[in-house]
Amino acid sequence: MRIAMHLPLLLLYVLLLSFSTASNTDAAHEAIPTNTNNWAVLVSTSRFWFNYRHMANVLSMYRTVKRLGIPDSQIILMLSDDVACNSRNLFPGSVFNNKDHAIDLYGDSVEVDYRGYEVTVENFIRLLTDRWTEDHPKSKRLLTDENSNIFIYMTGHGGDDFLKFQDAEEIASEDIADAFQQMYEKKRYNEIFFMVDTCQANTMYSKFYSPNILAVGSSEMDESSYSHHSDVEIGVAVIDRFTYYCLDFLEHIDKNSTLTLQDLFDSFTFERIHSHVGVRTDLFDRDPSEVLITDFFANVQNVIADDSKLLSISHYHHHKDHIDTARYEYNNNVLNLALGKDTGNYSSPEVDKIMKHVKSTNKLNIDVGSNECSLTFSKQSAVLGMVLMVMIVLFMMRGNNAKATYDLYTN
Amino acid sequence: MDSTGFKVALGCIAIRLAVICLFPSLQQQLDQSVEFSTPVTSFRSLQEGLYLLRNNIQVYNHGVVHHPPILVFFLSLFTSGTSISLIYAFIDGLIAYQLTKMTKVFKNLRVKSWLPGLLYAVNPLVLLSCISRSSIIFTNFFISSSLYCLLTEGNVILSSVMISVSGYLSLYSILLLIPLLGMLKNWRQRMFSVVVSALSLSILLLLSYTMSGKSWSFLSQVYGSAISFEKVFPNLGLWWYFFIEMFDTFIPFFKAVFNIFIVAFIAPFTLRYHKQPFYAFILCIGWIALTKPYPSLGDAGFFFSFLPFFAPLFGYLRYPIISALLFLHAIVLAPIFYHLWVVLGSGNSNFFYAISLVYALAIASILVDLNWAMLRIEYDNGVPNFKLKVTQI
Amino acid sequence: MALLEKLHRRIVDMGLVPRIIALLPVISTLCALFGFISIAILPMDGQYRRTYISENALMPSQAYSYFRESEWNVLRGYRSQIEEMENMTSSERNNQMGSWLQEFGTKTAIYESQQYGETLYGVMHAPRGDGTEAMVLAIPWFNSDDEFNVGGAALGVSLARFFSRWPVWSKNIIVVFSENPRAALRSWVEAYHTSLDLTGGSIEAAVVLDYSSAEDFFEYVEISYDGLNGELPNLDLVNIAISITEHEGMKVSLHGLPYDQLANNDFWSRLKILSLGIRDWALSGVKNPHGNEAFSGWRIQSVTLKAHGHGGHDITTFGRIPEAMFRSINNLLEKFHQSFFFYLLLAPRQFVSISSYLPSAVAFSVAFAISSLNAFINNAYASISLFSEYNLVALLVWFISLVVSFIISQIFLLVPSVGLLMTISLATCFLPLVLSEKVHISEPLSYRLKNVAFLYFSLVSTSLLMINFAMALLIGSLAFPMTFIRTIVVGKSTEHEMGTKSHTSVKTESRDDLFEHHGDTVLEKAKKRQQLKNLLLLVLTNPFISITLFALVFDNEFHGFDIVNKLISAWLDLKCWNWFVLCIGWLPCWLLILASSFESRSVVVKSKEKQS
Repeated sequence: MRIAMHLPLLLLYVLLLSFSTASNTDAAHEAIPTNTNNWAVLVSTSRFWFNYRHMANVLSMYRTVKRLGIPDSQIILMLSDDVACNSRNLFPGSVFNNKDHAIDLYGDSVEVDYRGYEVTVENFIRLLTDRWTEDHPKSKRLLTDENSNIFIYMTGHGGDDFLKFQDAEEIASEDIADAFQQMYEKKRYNEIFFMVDTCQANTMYSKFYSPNILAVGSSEMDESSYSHHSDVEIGVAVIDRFTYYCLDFLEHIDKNSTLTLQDLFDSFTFERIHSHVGVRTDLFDRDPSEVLITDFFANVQNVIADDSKLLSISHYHHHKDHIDTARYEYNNNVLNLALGKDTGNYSSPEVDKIMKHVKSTNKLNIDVGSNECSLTFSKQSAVLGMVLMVMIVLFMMRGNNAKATYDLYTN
Repeated sequence: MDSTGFKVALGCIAIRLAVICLFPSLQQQLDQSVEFSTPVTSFRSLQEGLYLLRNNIQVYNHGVVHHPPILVFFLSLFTSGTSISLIYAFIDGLIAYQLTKMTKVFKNLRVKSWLPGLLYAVNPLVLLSCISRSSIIFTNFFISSSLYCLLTEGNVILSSVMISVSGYLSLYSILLLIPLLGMLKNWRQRMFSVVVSALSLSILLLLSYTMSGKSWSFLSQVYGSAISFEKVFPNLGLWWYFFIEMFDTFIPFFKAVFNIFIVAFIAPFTLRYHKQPFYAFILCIGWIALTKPYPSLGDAGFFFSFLPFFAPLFGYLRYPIISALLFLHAIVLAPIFYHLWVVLGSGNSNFFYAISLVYALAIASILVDLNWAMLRIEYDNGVPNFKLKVTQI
Repeated sequence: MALLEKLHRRIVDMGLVPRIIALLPVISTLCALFGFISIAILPMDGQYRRTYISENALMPSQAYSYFRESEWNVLRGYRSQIEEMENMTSSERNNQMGSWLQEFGTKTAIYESQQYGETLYGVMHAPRGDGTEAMVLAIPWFNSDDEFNVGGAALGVSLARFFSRWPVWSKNIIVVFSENPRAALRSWVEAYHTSLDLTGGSIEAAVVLDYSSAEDFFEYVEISYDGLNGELPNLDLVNIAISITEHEGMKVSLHGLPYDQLANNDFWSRLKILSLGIRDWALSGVKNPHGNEAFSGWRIQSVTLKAHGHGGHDITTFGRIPEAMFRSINNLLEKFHQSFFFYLLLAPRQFVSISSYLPSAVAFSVAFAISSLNAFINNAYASISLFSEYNLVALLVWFISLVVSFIISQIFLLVPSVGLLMTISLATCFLPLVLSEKVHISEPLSYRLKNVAFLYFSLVSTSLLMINFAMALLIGSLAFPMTFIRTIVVGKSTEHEMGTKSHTSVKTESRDDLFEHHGDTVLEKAKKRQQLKNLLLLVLTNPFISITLFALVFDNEFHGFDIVNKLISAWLDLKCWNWFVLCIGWLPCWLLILASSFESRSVVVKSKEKQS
C-alpha cells in the first residue's frame, strides 16, 4: 500500500532525474565548443592622419589575437590608411597605442591583407560572403567553414545604423546583417563574435537576425565613443577608450586562460568607457559566462573527426589545384606570346578566351596607328554645296509678296 | 533698302566697331566669362575648330568643338581677326535692319519704327555677346531672318529654310518651326513649310556629312552634347547644378525630363495664341532662352529686343519694375559670385547657382507677365481697357 | 493663388498702397536706421557664437611645442648679429641672411623687383612629404610702423633652423624676408605665382611675424587678419592662431586694442571690437598694412602676429605660436574650406557669421532702392511714358557721369594732388547755389536723375555686399544723407490754373518740392534754407570729403587729407580697389544728385492712361 502511494512520487522523481541528467548531458554536450578553427577579421575604416587611433585600435587587436595564437593565414587585417609611413609621423614606421610607447604595434611581422583604397564596403561584404572571382588570392579570402569561430572587429567613424568607409561611402547595419545571413546559409561560421568601436556603435548590431552571433558595441545610439588619450609628441589621440579597456583586460589573457566573455563584459563600466557598452546575446545559444575568451581570441584547436567533413575538405583542395593549373598554363602562354612564340596548344577554354582578347586588342592598336587623319572636310564638296545653297536662296528670294497682318489686335 | 533701316543698321555696326577698337582685350575677357560663352557657343572652341580644320585634323574627335561643320568651314575662309569682327558686326547690323523693317509691318503698334532697331544696337547684352564672338549670333540672325521673310514678304519657303538653318546651327531653335507654322494661313502652306524645312535640314546635314569626311561623328558632338548635357560646365542655365548633386542612377531620367521641359511649352503657346501667332513666336523664343541647356546672355538679349513689339500691352503688365530689378541684380551679381567661387575660393557653387536661379526667375516673370497681358487683351476683345481690374479665381 | 488674390484685394481695399507710397521717404529712413541697429545689437548676448575649430584635422596645440629654452641661445645669437644689420643695405642684409639659411640646407633665392626692392626667400622641402603644397613664414625687415623687425628676423631664421631639423613636415616651408609688409611682400607673392623659378608648390597658409623690439620679453600678441579687398582668411586659421596663443599663456589683442582693455568682455567691449573690425576691414590696404594683406587673392589664408609691450613672456613663447600653427596646418590634406570665410569677430573667442550681419548692409541698399522708387513715383511725373525724353536724357547724363568719374579716377592716379581734388569737390558743391538764377533744369529731369542715381547706388551697394561687406556698409551709411536732398522748384505750375485739360496726373502730397503759392519773400527764404541744406548735404556726402571726415574722426592713423593719398597709393602698390569703389560707385551718383539739385522748372506733362 505504502509503496503504491509513493509510486507516483517515485515515478515523478525518476522522470525528473532523467530530465536533469539529460539536461546535464546536454549542458555537458553544449559546454564542449564545436569550433575547430578561429578566424579574425579586423577592419579599420577611416582615413587621414587625425584618425591615427583607429589604426592603432586595429593593430592592437591584431597583436592580441596573434599573441594568443591565431596565425596570419587566419587573420584578415584591413587597414584603410597607412599612418606608420605618413610624413606627419614623428616616429616613422611605428604605430603606438600608448603615450609611453611601450609597444610598437607596427614593429615586426605585420601582414596587412587589405590596405588603403582596397578597404571598401564592397570588398568587405565580398570577404564575408566569399564571392570573389577566380583570380582573387587565397590569403585575402575568409576561408571559413561551419566549424569556424570568427572574431570580427570594426572601428572607425559611425552613426545611427551606419559605418563610414574611407570618408566616401557607408555600410549599413542591414548590409552586415544580410552578409551574416548569407554566411549562415552557406555554413561559413560556427559562431561570430562581433565587436565594434565607433560612435553609436550599438546600432550596428541591432539588425542582425542570424543565429550564433554575439555582439558588443562601444556606445548607444546618440552617444559618442571617446578617445582615451593623446600623445603630445605624435600630436594625435592614439587609442579609443573602449579598445583601451578591452586590451587592458586581454593583456592578462594567455592561451590557457579560463576567463569568459562575461568577465570581459563586466570589466566595461561607464566610469571607464564614458559611454554605455551594449551586448547582444539573444542570437547566441550559449551564455557568455560559459564562453571562454580563448574560444574567439586564441587558436584552440578542437578537431572533430567526421567522415562527411573530411570529404568536403578534400573537395576543397581539389578545386584549389584546378585553379592553380589553369593560371599556370595561362601565365606560360602569355609569356610565350610576349616573347613572340606561338605555342598553339592552349588547353583550357578560359585561357582561349583570354588569348583571343589579347590578340584582338593588338589588332586594334595596329588599326588605330595606321589610321591617317587625312581628309576631314572635303573642300571641294563644301564649296560646291555652299554655292548650291546660295543659288537656291537667291532663287527663292523672289517670294510671293502676299502679306498677312500679324497685329496684336485689330480695331 | 529702306533709309531708316539702313541708318539704324549702320549705327549698330558703328557702335560695335567702336567698342572693338576702344577695348581690344574685351573679346578675350568676355569669351572667358561664364555668362557670355558656353561650351557650345564659345569662340575659343570655334577657333580650335578652325585650327584643326586648317591643319587637316579631325575636328570632331576631340570633344572640344561643338559647332556645326558648315559654320566652322564658313569661318575658316576668313583668316584675319578683323574680318571676323566685321562679319559679326555686319550680322548684328542686319538683325537691326530686319527689326526696323518688321516694325513697319504692324500698323497698330504705336512705336517708332527705328526704336526696336536702336534699342537692339545699344542693348548691352547683345553688344557684349557680339563682341565676345559667341556663335549664338548666327542662330539669332537666322531666326530673325525667318520672321523677316515671313512678315515683310510673305515668303514661306525662305522663312522655313531659315528656321531650319537656325535649328541646324543650334539644336533647340528648330522648335520654333511650330510657332512659325502657327503664323501660316492654311494647312497647305503648313505642310509645305514642314516639307521644305525638313528637306533643307536634311540637305544641310548631308552636306555636313560629306564635308566632315563622310562621317556622322559631328552629330553626337554638335547635337548630342546639348541634349545629353555632356559638358558639365557652370552656366546661367538651370540644369548644370543637378548633375553635381544627383545620384548616377537618376541621371538619364533627369536628362529626359529637362529635354521634355524645353519642348513642352512650345505647342501650348502656339495653340493658345493662335490668333496672335507672332507673339506666340516671341514667347517661344523667350521660353527657349530660359530653359535651354547652355544659355547665355546673348539669348536673353535677343529675346528682349523683341519686347518693344509688345508695346500696346505695357499698360497691362503687373510688375515690370520687379522683373527689371530682378534681372538687373542677377546680371550684376552673377559675375561677382562666379569670381567669389572660382577665383577667390571664399564662395561656393551654391552662390552662383542661386543667382542664376534669380536670373531665371527674372526671365520667367517677364514671360508670365507678358502672358497675363496677352490674356487680358483677349478678355478685353482687343480694345485696351487699363482701368478694369481683373483677378484670377 | 486665391489666398494671394484675397490678400491683394484686402490691401487694395484698405488703401494701403497709396499710403505706403506716400510714406516711402520715411520707409527709406527706417531702413537705414534698421541697418544701424541690426549691427549694433550683434554684441548682445545670444546674437553671437563661440568660435570653434571646424576642421577636425587641425587639432591645434595637441602636439607639444618644442621651440623653448633650448632654442633661446640660438635665437639670441642670431639676434645680436641682426641688430647690427639695421643700417646695412638690403642686399647685404639679404646675402647674410641667405648664407645663414643655406647653412642648414634651405634653398634660397632673391627676387628683385624694380620698384620695391629685393626680397629674400628660402624653400625647405619636406623630406618625407610630397612637396606639392607649402606654408609660408613671412618676416618683413621693417614692420608696418617702419621699425626694424629685429626680433622677427631672429625668430625667422631660428625657426627656420628649428623646422629644418624636424621630420614631421608634409608640406614645404617657405621663409620670406621682404623689405616691408606692403608692396614688397605683395609683389613677391605675385611673382611667386607667375614668374619665379624656385617655388615650393601651392601655398596653403602664411604667418607674418612682427616683433620689433630687441628685447627678450613682450607683453601680449596682436593678431591681424583683415585681407585686402574685403577678403578674410578662413575662420579656422584665425581660431587656431588665437587658441594656440591663449594656450601658451599669452593674451590676444584684436584691432589694436591696448593691454588694459583685453580682459573686458561685456557688451561695450564687444561693440568696440566690432566697430573697429568693420573699420579695419573697410580700410584694409589703405591703413598701414600689417603683412597678411599681401597674400589676399591667391587662395592663401594669412594672419599677422605682432608682439607688443615689454615684460611678461619671452620671445621663444612667441616663436611657439608659428611652430604650433605650422604643426596644425601640416595635418591638413585639403585647403581650408570647412569654416567660415565671412564673419566678424566680437572678441577673440566670439564671432558672428554672415547671416547675422548681412541684413544691415542689405537694409542700406534697400533704403537706396526705396529712395529711387520714391523719386520715381512720389511726384506729378510718375506717369510719363517710359521712352520719354526725360528718361533718355537722365540715362545719358548717368553715362556721362560714369565716364567723367572714370576720367577723374585715372587723372588723380597719375597726378595724386589731393589738395586739388578736395578743392574741386568743395567748389562743385557750391555750383547749385552760385548758379541758382541762371541755370535751370526741368523738374521731371531732376526726379529722373535722382531715380537713376539711387538705383545705380543701390546696385553698386548690392554688388559689394558679399565681396566687401564693410565697404558696402561704409559707403551705404556715409552716402545715405544724399536721400534727403530735395528738388527746388521755381516757376509756376500750370496745372492749377488751366485745370484738367489733357492729363490726369495724380496729386500726391509730396514733400519733395516746394511750390510757390503765396507771397514771394516767405518762399524765397524757404528756398534759400533748402538750398543751404542741400549744400550741406552735398558737402557731407561727397565721396572724398566724406571719407576724409570719417578717417579723421574714427581713426588716429590719418591726418589731414592722408586717406585720399593712401587710397591712391593702395591701388598703385597693392591693387586695392577701394579707390575705384569711391570713384566709380559713389561719385557718379553724387554727380547726378548734384545735377538734380539745380533749380528746376515744372513742366506740363501729357500722361498716358493709368494702369489697372
